[in-house]
Amino acid sequence: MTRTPAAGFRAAALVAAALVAAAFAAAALVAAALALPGCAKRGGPSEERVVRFWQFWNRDLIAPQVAAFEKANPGVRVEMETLTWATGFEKIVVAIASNDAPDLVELGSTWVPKFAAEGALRDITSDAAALRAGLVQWESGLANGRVYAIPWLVGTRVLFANVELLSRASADTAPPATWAALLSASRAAHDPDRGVYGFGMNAGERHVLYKKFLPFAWSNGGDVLDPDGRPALGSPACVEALEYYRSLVPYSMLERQDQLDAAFLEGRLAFTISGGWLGKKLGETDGSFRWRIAPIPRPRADSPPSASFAGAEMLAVPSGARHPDDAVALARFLVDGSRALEIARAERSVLPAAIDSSAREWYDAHPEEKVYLDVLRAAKSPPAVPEWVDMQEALNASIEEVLFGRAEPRAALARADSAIGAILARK
Amino acid sequence: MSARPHAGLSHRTALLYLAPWLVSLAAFHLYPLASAVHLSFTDRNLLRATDPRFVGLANYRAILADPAFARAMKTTAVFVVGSVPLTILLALALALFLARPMRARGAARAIVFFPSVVSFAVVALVFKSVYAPNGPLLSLLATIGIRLPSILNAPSLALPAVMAMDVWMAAGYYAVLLLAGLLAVPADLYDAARLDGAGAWATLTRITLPAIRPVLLFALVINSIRAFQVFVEMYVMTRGGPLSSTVTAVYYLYEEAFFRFEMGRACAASFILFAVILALTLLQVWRIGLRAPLTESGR
Repeated sequence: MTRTPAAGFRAAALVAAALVAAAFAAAALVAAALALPGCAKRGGPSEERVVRFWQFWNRDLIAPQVAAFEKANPGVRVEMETLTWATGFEKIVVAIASNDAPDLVELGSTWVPKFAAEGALRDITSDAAALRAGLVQWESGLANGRVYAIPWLVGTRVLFANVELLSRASADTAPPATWAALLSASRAAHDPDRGVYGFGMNAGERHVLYKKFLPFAWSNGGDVLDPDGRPALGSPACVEALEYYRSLVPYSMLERQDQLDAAFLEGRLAFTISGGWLGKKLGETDGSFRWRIAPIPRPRADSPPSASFAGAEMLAVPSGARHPDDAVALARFLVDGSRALEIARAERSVLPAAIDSSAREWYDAHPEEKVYLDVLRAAKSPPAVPEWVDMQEALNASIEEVLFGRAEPRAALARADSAIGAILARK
Repeated sequence: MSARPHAGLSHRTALLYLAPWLVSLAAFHLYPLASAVHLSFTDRNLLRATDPRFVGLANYRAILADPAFARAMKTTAVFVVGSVPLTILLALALALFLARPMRARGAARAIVFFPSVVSFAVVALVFKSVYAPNGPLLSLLATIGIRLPSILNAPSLALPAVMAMDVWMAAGYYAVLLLAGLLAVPADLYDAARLDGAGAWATLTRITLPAIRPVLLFALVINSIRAFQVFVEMYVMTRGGPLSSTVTAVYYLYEEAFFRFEMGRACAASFILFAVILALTLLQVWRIGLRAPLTESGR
């Protein structure tokens, strides 16, 4: 009595198992086919060339520009992918590692020298030659005189000041222009019992700290490396800058960037150093309090203009690109002044790398945005060397140790120098 | 209703049944594992297009000589020692509570289990906002006169804060596991204990704990392994900071792979971590033992 149903059940189960196994095998085959470069048909008729383009900006902003490029280049279809700032970088690394890199990719300037040194990017010197004069911030895209990435959008950091908090603490509501003025204004506005802090200082987040400290060192005449390429953080100019930076700590909220931006938006920070993205958010929530942006304060009233941090979003062609010529053509199309300005105007957190007459005209008509342009003129970048990725960790660690009271500026920076020296010696 | 459900199955049939799982095991576990072993002996760099070279034990030597790795292992050890016993104790207390007859027992069990069904990343994001400078926890502490500038950005508080979240998240899951063990303890053992005049403590230590020893061991081993591999919390909440105080072993190897692109070294680090976990798991099994539980011998 039990035999027949059990046998029937077994047979049914066998068939089901076989089906599942077949489905798995089929899925594995499909996955393998997709992973094999060249095997997968990326759609369209065979003469159509598909350029894969990965970028980080709002899709609605870039898509019309890409469509215009497609229209001007019959036979080319652009497959655009919008990456997020949180995970996009890893996605790029994985794509390059698995030999499935896009044809054109947006990369932050700090990473470009490392990618170029490892051979992950294509030498596009001859294609980029015509662009050299029209764009700023090339340094990170160059290695040994060759071009590996084209600057597209550039960004810098400015001092954000909460005018309400300033006016409560003193009669002078102009953002401080010197180190001493920033310190005394931070002290005056600092009132932690009410949840108000004088200065918003980055801490806890590696890979960010140096962008906030180096402007103080640069403005004081210091730098990471001396003109001969030797570590120079231990110089009196850098030590003095870190000592000053540390003097802000008692009147500071020490937090990560997202928390600092949130605190400033809530009106709980008198000052913080941030990028245009904060200005954009402040503009969207306008009306709660008055705020201003200004250049990062300089050491003394008679010092030259302060040097802020300058970064660039660059366009690069990975070595594994299948249509490098079309990719470069797309890059040249996108970095064009009017197109880049369109993105800059909408995103507010960046400026076009092509500061042409139309860009200058627009910034002249928008004085609140022009501060970024003025700051960018004197801004500097960290050394454009592949070792920077490791060097900045040593610098960040030293800055953080000082901010948390674990080390003295002179000793911490001397340690950073010897770590950087060891990193450079490894080459 | 066959009395011998497996009697008619041949090896071949069994293999066929297992095939889907075997295929996925081979494709998604064994192959990557073998490939990671291979990579750990090469200078594989994620950005480098050239073929990786065989470097012997150089990666292992470099990782073991790196003070940052030693520090990450120490931080991981603190995390394990600080969170695992607390999780198991809390889970045991919850399980003992849930085993008692009460109204709405199902609802109570569901509530305790609830944190386990939410994604780690989501919980980490929620706790990040709880711990935020202007968040509810600091505001609450401020009302009782404790003023802290920050939790996740204080070098001495960041790791304990992440550990607290981990305990909260894991305790419910292990409570349900232990509860299943508790409910399997034969009631006559408790009846006998009561007749003999055993108190609550004696009942717990002489009957309950020995009876659920296998479940307890399982919970301890699984929780320890998980704690050694802590990563998502750090990735979402602290990114290793401040002062590298929350760089755990897996976070270290993640940065080795995706910030320094040294995949060979990252693989080596992961096998060093594996060796440590394996050794400690064997130690736990040896110390607590896989002896048959009281429920079996009591039959």
